[in-house]
Amino acid sequence: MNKYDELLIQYLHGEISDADKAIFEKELETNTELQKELEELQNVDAFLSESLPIDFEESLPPQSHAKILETARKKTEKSRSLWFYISRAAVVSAACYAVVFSWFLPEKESTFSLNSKAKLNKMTEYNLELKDAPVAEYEELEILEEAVEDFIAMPTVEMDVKEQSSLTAPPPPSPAPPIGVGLTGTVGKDMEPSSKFAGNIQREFKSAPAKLKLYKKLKQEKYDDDLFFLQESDKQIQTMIENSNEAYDHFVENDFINVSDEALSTFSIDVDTASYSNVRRFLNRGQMPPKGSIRIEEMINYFKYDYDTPKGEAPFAVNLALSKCPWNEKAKLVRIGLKGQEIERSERPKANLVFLLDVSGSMNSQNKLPFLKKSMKLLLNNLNEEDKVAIVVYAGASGLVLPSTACSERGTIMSALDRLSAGGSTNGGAGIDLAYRTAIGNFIEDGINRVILCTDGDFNVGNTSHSGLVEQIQKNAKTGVFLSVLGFGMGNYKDSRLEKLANKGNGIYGYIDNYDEAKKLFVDQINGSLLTIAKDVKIQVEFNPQQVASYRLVGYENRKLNKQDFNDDKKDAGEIGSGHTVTALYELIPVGSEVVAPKVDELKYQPKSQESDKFIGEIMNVKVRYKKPDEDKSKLLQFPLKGDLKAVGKVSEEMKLATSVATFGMILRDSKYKGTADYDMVLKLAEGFSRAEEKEFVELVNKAKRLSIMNK
Amino acid sequence: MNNKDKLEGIKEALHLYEKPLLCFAKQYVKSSQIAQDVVQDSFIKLCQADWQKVRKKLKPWLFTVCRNRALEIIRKEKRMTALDDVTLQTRPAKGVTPDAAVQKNDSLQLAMTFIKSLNNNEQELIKLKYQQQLSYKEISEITGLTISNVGVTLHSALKKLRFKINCLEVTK
Repeated sequence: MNKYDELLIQYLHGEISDADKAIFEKELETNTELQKELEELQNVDAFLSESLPIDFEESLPPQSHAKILETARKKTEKSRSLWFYISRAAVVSAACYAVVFSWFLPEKESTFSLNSKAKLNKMTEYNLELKDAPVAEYEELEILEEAVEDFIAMPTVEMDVKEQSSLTAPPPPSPAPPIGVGLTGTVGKDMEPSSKFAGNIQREFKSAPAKLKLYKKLKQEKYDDDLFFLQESDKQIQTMIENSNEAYDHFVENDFINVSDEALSTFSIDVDTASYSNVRRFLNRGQMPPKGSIRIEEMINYFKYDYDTPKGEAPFAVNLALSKCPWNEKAKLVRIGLKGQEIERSERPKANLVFLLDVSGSMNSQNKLPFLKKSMKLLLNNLNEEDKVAIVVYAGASGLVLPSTACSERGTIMSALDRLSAGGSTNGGAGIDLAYRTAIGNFIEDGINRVILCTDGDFNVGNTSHSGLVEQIQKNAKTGVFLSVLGFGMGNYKDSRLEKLANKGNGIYGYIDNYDEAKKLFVDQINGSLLTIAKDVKIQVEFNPQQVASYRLVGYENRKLNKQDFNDDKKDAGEIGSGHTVTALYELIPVGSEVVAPKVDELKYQPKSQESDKFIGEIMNVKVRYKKPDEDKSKLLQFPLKGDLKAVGKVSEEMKLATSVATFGMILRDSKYKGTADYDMVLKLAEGFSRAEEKEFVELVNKAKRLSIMNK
Repeated sequence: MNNKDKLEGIKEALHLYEKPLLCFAKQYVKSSQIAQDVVQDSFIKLCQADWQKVRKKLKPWLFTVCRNRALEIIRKEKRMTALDDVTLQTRPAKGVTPDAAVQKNDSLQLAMTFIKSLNNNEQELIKLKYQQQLSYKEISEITGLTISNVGVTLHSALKKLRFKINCLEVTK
């Protein structure tokens, strides 16, 4: 019995090697005493796991943070200070030139040094403290904007005060600012070159909304040092941020492009739907969703479209359709739709799934871990007997809670799920490794091998930085095990991060905000969620300049590819799951209407060649590249679209769903191309929608409409 | 740029490990004040360390340094404590309903009482395993015990607790 004691504890805690595990499990089959002992210790382990973990609430006082950061900076500033000295030297010499210049031309002001001086003047002259107000008044906001802009625009290089006094001090060149705004800065030694703020933030920006605004501005400008300092030193903003710690990527909307400048438009497909769930979450809570969270392609792709199913060898079919553009009289819309092959549940290959679950303390609220457990059980009920499931958790250390178990033992899996409880901080990096190892260890040839990561996004990753994590996933993706990411709960929800991870992991990214969504992903669309039928799917469209003057891709901003990436199999792109549909819309300006895109000069050395009539009947050529899931070489499909763009006169019936969703998205994003779009237009397009999810969409539009009226 | 990596790495480490380390330090030194000093010292040491060597095992490194410093202070102040009561004062995990919270608090208290009956080594390892959620390897690095030793100690700890906890089950 003693020989197995050591193995037993290792087995219990998931610290056992595979070889030993086999030995132990074999003995366990026949040795009832061992079974009893294991069970007893499992009880103890469960009890301790349940009752001992506490939330780590205490943190270091601000002085400690400051001292640590100061030391860190000192120890890491060697390479910085070289630049610092160079730039300082540059400024000083520029100032000297300016001085010299001003001697010779006394009337002319050298703007460089004087601008800085002017700013310094502003700082010392004006010092207005914004009063603590629960809601910033409009004027206050305006003043605040300026203050923030000023602060950001201040040069980071410190100017020696002595140099200053040698310059004459003319009045500030800019017009006098309204009600003087400024900040008392301490010029000179106190100002660290890397941080503008050096503790002045708290004094200068007093009111909470003021601080949050500053925080957002810093974030936008990527002043990470200052951000960190601000966050750490201010409890108030810390809690505010924690309460709304949702990070969305900023991206610039696609503009119109002239076909004569660039006839090729290339992008990666995307079946993620998280943005729609997110929008729904906000609207159901009575809030407008943040503009940065709107990814129109994800909203459009949320819905089911009745595209033709593939008939030939290719795993998907491409459908093209044309329509008038409801929000822009001069434009037309073209819709590209891909439909993935359907696979019967019985025909679905065997699955080897590893649930990688975040059970950190932050997952404790009702809409997170308990909800996750419910959703997982839903998935379990839709797996086949031979499918295998393993559960890996990450919180602090990571652990294999359930080794890969066939679904014929549904009870064991369910109870393992039930036993999960939240506590501790997270270490996602180690968890991912363990999950992949487990998946690889149980790899099924020609089967579905997937890690399903479920988290609220509070993804502290232990030793690696975020980019390290992305690298890790990229590496692991090559093993043939795919990664899907599912978001739960709100707050602490790092949307953009999670999407990137799913992208690199060749899997989908979904956000589960309610039970119906869980049902959708795990029951109705389970095949799509689990079974990738084509990976790295890219689309390249060539527009015919004889018909199309300019084009604009609606959405897919962070999916765009360079045109040379289309044929480059090493470039990663999106995946299609079984039964999935993918939709992309282009807004097209036909030849003959006024050109909307900025004009690029004609080439001098490569003048435009003669146009032939060979392709006059074609509007565009759609090319699709894809790889079979286990192959590395891509295949090419081509679909020319014949027709007369100018003759398209109606809003196409079959495109009404996609069009209405796109319009809604553009209004929510406050797109500069939304033209005459308004909520009523969306509602009109949506008249007659009969499916449940489409009716839900109409409800959301109405909510948004009401909110926008209330917020005026 | 190594230096930038280091600075970023230190900031991230601070963000990640500050709170667990504080709880960890309090296990040994009892007082919040002293625990803060210990943790601050640990991070300062991190700033001074060779980043390339440390970055791949930040967590065990930080915990080891922290533990060593805490023990050093205890030796100096001759305040050898039974590693206990401090944690009783903190509330269990948030987001639980009031009833569940009471129940959770009760089981926390209960667990802590049970653990007091173990010897120092066993108590320390139980806390490291279940509160800090460290792996055997990490525990071994931090405490200096061999991995095998860690397993043996945890096993004996669990065995000792077996009867108490199983009695609990029966009376439910």
